[in-house]
Amino acid sequence: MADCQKHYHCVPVSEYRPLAAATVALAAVIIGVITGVFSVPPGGGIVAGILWILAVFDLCRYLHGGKLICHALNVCVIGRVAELIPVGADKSFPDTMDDDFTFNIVLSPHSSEETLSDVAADPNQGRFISRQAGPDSLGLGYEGVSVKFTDLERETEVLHCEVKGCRVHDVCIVLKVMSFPTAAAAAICSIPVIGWAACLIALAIVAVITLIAGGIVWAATHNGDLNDVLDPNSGFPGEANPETGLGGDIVLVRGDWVYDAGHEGWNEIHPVRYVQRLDNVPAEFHGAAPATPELVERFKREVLDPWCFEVGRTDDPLVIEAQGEPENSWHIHPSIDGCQEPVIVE
Amino acid sequence: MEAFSRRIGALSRVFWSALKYLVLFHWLRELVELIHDLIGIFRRRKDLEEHRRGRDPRCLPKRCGGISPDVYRRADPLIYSQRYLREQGLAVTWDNPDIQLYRNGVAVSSSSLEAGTEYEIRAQIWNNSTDAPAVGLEVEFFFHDFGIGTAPIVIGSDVVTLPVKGAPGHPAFARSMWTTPNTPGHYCLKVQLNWADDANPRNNLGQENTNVGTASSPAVFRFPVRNDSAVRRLLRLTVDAYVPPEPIDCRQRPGKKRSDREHPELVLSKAFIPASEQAADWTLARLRHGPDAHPVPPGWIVEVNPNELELSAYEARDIDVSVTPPDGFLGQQAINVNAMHGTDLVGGVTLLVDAG
Repeated sequence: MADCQKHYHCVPVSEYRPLAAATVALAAVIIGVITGVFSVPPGGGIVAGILWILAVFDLCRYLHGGKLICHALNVCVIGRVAELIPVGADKSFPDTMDDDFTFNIVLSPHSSEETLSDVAADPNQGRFISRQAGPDSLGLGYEGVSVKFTDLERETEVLHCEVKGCRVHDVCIVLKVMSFPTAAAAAICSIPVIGWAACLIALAIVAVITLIAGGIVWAATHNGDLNDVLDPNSGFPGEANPETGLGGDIVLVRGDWVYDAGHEGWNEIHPVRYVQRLDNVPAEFHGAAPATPELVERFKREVLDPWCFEVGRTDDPLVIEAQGEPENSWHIHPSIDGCQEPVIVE
Repeated sequence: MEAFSRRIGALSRVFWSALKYLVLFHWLRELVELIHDLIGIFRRRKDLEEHRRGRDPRCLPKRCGGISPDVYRRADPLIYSQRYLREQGLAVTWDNPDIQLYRNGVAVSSSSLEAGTEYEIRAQIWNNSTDAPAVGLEVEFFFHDFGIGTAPIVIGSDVVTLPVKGAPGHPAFARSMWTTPNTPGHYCLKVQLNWADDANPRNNLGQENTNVGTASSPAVFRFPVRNDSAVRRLLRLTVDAYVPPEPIDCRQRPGKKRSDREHPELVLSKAFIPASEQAADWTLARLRHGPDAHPVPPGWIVEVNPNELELSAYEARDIDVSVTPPDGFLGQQAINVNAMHGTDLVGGVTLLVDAG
């Protein structure tokens, strides 16, 4: 199992830095070209090479979570699936480098007809779709995410959830590793005449290797592959009716609650580390009608708190330790493949 | 100026991280991990070819929206489930280790129940998942007239919270009060776990079906066998003396690969094993719990009359089982009578024979 989500981590608001890669890469190319053509400034190829490495590393830093400002780690959210967005939907190259599977949820027990302010007033889960102070202090805008159900007048405010694919991480490995020979090639290029010839050959070799390796990795890690979907262990949550906004599976989602600066400005769960379908949530919490404060309170007591408590116990070090004990080492049934520690009498 | 110096500071941090990446060979470690992951993906794709059967071929990524298993979790509530275990090639007992009856707080055997009396049925529920709990798990209780395949009557239901394996409160216990019918007799109990998104929905039904007889040369049992399906079926009755053996010493477990290597005849490559139990050492389980490992002991004579029944839809017929212990036997011996339709287990009883 690739377990892609482990490669992505949000940053505290104080450590957030916007992407500089494009500017640095442009500078690298300009310096590289000027140095190559005019042989000035001396050592310009080395500078261009270093800038190129910086651009690649900055891009990868950003894509690996530098763009995600943490609100809280490993939060537990329960909502109704409003919309599933398969891998690569509505994306074209090079945006298809992002192979995340994403979905949007209406926070439970709210209906698709409720406004942002209605849901934001929910004392238990409303904060997840509300503007937060951290990104505000950096002057980053907040637009929120919404889904349009055709029969409803207004758009429905939702919480965006991203299940990470590995492609960004894998392609970044290739780019980072290959940035060093590229820089070396740029340095060679800055040597007049001999360097120019060698440069062309070296750059061609590096480019071909990067393209081949990147292409293999790009294709191999594509999580939208039919085989991944057909994995018998995969989950297949159902989304709400696209016309009425009714229905949709209720899911429990765990992951980091972040502000994603890579979009227009919204909060999301990124990366999603855990999804469980909750099939036994009573119908009154399925959002058929706008939620009253009493219903919200009852949802917290009967669904949100018990579920989040039980799921949260999987992080308890004592539970993790107990799961490694011999008495819990069975996989079929304790009477079939359970084992016991021998009693030692001294 | 301040913004510029911040940018320079940020780029210098990127520079140092790049230098560290190069000098400390992080690039090598990541490359090795990447190659390892890619090999894993190619292998997995090959394995998944085997799992395509039964899946909707139109289930394309843009239609289904599948969430990969490293993120999507399913609870696996389970109980000692005879039909499932038999499907996997194991012998079973109908003296269910997960179902226990109590009268006034004292454990009693399901084989010696009094008519018109209130009992508490307690079912022990396990979770085979280490990361997905089952909150609000519904547990239903039924009883049948003693026999095989007889129709169920609802006793009641309970709702429990089943934590993950290893957490406090695991296993969970479901309870239901039951007043036995006024007609004296033996009854079979059934416990059903209802959980929709279940990692293995086949291990959710447990039965308790025992009877005690004294061997007065021989011990004779008579009970009905019923065809609970809508078509005519030929049922074959088999007997064994399986009782779950003591758990193995943890230090002496051979490991799955070694078991498979040493007992290739017990590797059932065509048996469907749910993903939640792929890690189990099924070969060792078949070696220790297989019917061949638990025949009727030498000297015992068990006669089932008739040992084959052709029954119309929902038809029931009595069978006689006589059990003769060897001379001088003292104690109790369990004899399991299983009704098979082809290789499918239809039902069964555990007869406990007291002698001496």
